[in-house]
Amino acid sequence: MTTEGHVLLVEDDKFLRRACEASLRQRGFTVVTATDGEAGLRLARSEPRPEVILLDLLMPKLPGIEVLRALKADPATADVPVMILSNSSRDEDKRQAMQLGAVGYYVKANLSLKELAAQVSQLVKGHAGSR
Amino acid sequence: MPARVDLARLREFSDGTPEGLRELVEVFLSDSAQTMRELAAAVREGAAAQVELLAHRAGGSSAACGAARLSDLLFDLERLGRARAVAGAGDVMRAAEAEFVEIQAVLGAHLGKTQDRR
Repeated sequence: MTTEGHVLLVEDDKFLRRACEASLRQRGFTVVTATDGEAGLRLARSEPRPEVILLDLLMPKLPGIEVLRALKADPATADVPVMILSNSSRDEDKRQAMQLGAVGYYVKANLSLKELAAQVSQLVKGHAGSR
Repeated sequence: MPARVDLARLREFSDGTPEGLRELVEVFLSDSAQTMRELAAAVREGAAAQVELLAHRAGGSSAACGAARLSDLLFDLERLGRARAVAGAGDVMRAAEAEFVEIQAVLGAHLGKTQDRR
């Protein structure tokens, strides 16, 4: 079966996880989900490697910002684009995530699933092109 | 008064089918109800870190589906949790619970309508 790309979604909120997962699957992506930071990091390092990671910030076990730091410090995952899904619209949170290497930052209250899927699609193409 | 929940936004979040919307509403109601119960317990126990985490989680989904007043109240609780100042959070929690009851009624009525159409 062909897929538009492998996406790892790390989000502890069931509603958002279900909505994002359904939207991406509907558009042909293969989606793996994790409900906390530790599981997310484990899945990011597993095969098949995700081509894009969607990451919440405040989660049980390991905060998203620490997951991002660990991903970027590991040569095996450093080049995987990470997009942040956060409740926080604070500039300092966005700045910190972008400084650590996130490629995008979505505030959940303004989240458009269509726009998110389009962004994921672009990132998958870019990631494939960089390998 | 603005709508308690933005049904158009909820529709945008579903797969575009009535069944998908129904499933999403059910997930929102059941998941939020559980998180609200856990949050109320955390506020009662003064467990600030739990208040921050649970209010953040419930606030994210309520904001995403356009339940603006509920998400504002939950963000207030999240801030109190982050500041480790939940001693006076009972009033905000009660307001959030009352708002959630109203949202349950609105969405419950919506589910009833979609059920009738089938």
